[in-house]
Amino acid sequence: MNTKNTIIIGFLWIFTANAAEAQLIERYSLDGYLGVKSTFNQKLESSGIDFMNYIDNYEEYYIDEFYLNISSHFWMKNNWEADVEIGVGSSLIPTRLDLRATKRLNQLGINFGFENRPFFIYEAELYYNVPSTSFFINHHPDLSYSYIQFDLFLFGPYTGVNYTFENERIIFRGDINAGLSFNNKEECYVTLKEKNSNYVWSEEYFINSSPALWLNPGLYFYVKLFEFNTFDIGIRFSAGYYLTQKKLTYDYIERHWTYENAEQQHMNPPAHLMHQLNADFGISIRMK
Amino acid sequence: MIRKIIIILIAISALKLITSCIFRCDCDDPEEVEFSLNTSQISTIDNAGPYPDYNTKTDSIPAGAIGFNIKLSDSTLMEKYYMVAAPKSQCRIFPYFIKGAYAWSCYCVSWEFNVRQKPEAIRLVALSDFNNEIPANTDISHLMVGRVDQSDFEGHGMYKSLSKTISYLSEERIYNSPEFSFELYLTEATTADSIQFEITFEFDDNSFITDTTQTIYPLPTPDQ
Repeated sequence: MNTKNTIIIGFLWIFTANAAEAQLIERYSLDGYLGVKSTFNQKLESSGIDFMNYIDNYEEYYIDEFYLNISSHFWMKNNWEADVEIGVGSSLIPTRLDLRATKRLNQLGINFGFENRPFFIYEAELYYNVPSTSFFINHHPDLSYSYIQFDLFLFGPYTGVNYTFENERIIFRGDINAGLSFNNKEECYVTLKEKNSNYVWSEEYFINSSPALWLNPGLYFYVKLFEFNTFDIGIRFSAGYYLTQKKLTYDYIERHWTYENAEQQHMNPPAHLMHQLNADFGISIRMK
Repeated sequence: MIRKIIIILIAISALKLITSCIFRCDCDDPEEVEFSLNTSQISTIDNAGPYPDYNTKTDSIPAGAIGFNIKLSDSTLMEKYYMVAAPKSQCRIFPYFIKGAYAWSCYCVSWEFNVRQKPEAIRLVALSDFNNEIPANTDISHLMVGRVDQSDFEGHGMYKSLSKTISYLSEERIYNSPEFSFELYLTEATTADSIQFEITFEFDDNSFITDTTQTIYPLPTPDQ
């Protein structure tokens, strides 16, 4: 995903430079902002491991995670506008991406976009860490790496509408977008050893990419503070709400005693209702 | 100007660091040493916990968690070469940045070991009744699995079947010293009060070694 992001960013940079030269872009803004997001995820019972139960699972039901984003808004010819947003989370690796084109009709606009929204699956092997069970999770430093944690990206296209109010000093924008997301494929495993026994058992998971629908209303507010000859500086605030129903289906290979003694199975866990709230605050530079 | 000088100095140092290992290891060819597997050493593994306990002091082990650590060696050469051999490599790369002084260094190997015969079969016999269905002196090799590599991440920490264990031990490879060790584990719990096993290693030159384990007093498996 990071390579893809780099390619997209490079492409956009070339596009922007060419577009500016061809005077497609009439003006643009640059924003930098710090935000916080909380994910609320429905925990569900399952007959096998359900990775969605371990999404952003630092605490039982939610997490407050900081993010740092930069974004740019372009006012273009023929009532087109475009947005590019790139962000990092606590890992400081750019994983958030939002590309959007808007056709402005009057104060209303129609959005078309593509976004990548990062989540984190955290310590899913703890599914087996039940005190009453007779198994140890094998974390032997030389034999097994039974830690199941990975980045989960939900990415895909979306469309929606927005309403913008803009005057000399303030900009207010309200969006509501809906889209289709897919998740990245992932592979991981856990090895277990029975207490008081030589018996070992492992499960190797191959998480499939599966689709989900989502809804994302959001608000944006900008107030101009300082005005210079070629640009203005102001503060910005935005907030959003993300709602989806997501399941992570997977195939898995169950092994008993030896690596070769394996059988493949499929798991179709239930869909989880998941929602995320985010709010951020930062500065915006608007080129004239 | 100063910047250019610094860059040139860094480049020269880096080049020297790299080439000092690759091109300037002035080592003599290692002496080829052939060895025979003529001695075995078997110790019991208590595998009741999350990881094997190779240093168990007790002979009372949960009945389902019995394993054996096996060392096959050339007794005539062990004293001479033990702990002094190294892999057939004249250049070692230490990946730890902190130990940067040793990042690339020459390591001259004195000996290169080639085993004369390779294991072809391993047989396990219980010298007393294993359970109600398996009487004493029955070959129970089919109840064994092995572990031959202590860094087997690809195997997810699972065992190898006995045939895979043997074929791994038979692979053409350079031995670090005139010995090698591996582990065998039982896949079934014995119901015996005390039990001893006889393990026979058969080699491709028709030689064999037979050794017996210490007497083990299996503990009944507690309710999980």
